Amino acid sequence: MKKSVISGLFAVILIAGASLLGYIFKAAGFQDANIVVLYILAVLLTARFTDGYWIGLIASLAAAFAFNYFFTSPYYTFAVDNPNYIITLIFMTITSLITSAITSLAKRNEEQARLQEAQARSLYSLNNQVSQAHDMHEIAASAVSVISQILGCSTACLLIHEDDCWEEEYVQQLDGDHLVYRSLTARERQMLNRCKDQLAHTFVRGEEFYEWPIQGQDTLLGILRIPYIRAKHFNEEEASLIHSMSESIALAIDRIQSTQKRLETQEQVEQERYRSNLLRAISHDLRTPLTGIMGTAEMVMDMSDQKDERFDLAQGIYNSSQWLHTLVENILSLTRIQEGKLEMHKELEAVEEVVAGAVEALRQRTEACPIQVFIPSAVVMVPMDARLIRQVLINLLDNALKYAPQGSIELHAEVKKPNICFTVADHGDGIRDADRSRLFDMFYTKEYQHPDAVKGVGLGLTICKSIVEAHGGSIWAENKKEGKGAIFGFTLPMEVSDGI
Amino acid sequence: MEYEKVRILVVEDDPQIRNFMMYCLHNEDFPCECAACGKQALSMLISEPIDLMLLDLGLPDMDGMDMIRHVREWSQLPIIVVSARDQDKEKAAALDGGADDYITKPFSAMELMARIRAALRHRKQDTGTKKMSFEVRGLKIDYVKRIVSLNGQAIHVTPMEYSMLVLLSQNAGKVLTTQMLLKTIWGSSYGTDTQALRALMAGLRRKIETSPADPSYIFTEIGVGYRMADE
Repeated sequence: MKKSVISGLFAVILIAGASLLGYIFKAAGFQDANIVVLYILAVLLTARFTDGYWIGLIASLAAAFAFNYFFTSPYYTFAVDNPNYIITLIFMTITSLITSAITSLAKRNEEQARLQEAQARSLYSLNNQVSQAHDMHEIAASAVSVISQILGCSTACLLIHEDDCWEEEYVQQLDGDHLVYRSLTARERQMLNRCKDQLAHTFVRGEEFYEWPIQGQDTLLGILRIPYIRAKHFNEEEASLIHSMSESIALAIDRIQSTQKRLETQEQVEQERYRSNLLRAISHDLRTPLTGIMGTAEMVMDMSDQKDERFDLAQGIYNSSQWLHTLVENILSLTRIQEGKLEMHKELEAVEEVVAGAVEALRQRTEACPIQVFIPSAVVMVPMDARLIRQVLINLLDNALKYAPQGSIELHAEVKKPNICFTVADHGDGIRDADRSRLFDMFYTKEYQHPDAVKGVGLGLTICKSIVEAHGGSIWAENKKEGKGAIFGFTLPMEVSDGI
Repeated sequence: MEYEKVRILVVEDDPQIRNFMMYCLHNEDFPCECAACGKQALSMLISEPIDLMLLDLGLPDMDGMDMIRHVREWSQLPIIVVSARDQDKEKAAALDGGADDYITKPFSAMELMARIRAALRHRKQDTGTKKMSFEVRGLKIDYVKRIVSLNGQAIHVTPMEYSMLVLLSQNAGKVLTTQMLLKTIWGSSYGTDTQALRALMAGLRRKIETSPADPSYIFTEIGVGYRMADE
């Protein structure tokens, strides 16, 4: 309102000035044409320095009337007696109207260009700032300050965690240059959660803010919160500016997130490598002395007579170190399984090869207690880490040999779609009910010991369980329904499933 | 003893294990030498007539793998790798690098002697005239007539199975790595498709073995490769 009064005053002064100059021209004896041009100049200047078409239009008419009033006879009336002047007046009005219209248009275009330039500049500065940011919060902070500046209001930005829920706090720019962190109220959170789907496509009107989505490649990354009062008056250009800004923010966040992900994977690989080096070193350092001990014991056994006491002693050393060796192998397998899944090399393997590998490893101990093997006649290929599954079979067979040294052991492999099922059955005393539930627990051995005082910290079955479960299978133990003996069995899925 | 003149070099830095290996060899009447590091071993290989080397991969002064490659540049003597590293990849790498066999610590005297005998037999085959046929435990492969028979009964095998049998039998007792078999039978363009190899082996096993899960001719070294029986 104030502005239009100033504009009107400006127009009045210009036209009055033109009239005054016109008197001087007339007194000096110049022609009327000069005065007409003087009035058109006044209208042009009015249109140039005031806003809107209206002032220009009014100024054009006012100029025509002023010329008519002051400079055409009869003077100081709006009547015209010379028809020449009527033509002059008409053309003067048309000319000043067109002049004012063109000037206003030029002025408006210029303003628009300036606005666009400012927007482009701010978009550029936003891009510049977010591309230098080191984390998502820095991006949010610079976005907020740039957008607040261009819109002239206190905008805010709320991000979404990688686990897809809203962060606790959002950053907002207040007057001046300082940023504050405000926490999200429960109500706002509820509202935002409700509108999450809608936010994927367009903005949402909230209580305090308009919420503009920052949409990443696959997910919503956060929202820009524009104060309600400001956003209400958004025009098309501002809306599209906010849209492009949110796009560049999304791009920057995506970039930061993918960098973070890459770093994490890199770190994981590094750790995995470190762990496997450590494992390798341990296994190397344990095997070397074991070789020495076992070899020396073997040597002593070889040198002494079987009836000699020393033979028994050496045999004791040999057996103990053999047992230690099995334990070391089992512990190493267990660490491999529990520490990192990267160590598992799952490939399609022929069941018969793995079974043969296990039977072969126990060959020396099976003379008294033969192992009967039953496998499907067709070739069966199952995805597995062959060495680990062989270890499971060895442990189960070893268990059977330990606890049921008499009679034969049967190893069955049967296809029971979608699984393959392995069972090891012995002719021993079977499993006591008290033991059954805890057989696969770590460090559990049978409560009562065999007369031979069978050694074992019970790691064998624990490892079997870990390995089988890491393959997505299951393991169990039961007593034979008919006759004496225990059955240990496990299944493996025959199809590769994701996530294992 | 037929291997009486064979001299064996034991390369091992751990004195306990070295003593044990030397003892085993003396027991079987093999004259032998020992070296505690790679440099010493190399100079002995040059100055002494050595017929077989037992090599520990973890030597203090040089990498065992480099040692194998180095020796292979000028000598074809059998090398049996003795290592405490139980990694399939390393086994395969040592075998592909030129080692003849691989034995993992801890091992028994029996195991060690069996490997040594197999390696020596193999060396004799290499140096002897080209054999016309191969026979083990009733399985006979006639290289001239290209006939495979089991206990006198001819067995029909496909051309690919036949070349696999020839390759394995000519290296009987020696582990041939998956990589090497793939490259030789299928050609280098075949890449690392171990599925095809497994399927071929399974088919072959069904033709010659009585019990595929308890084989007597072709043994699987899990994660490494295959080996044919040689005695």
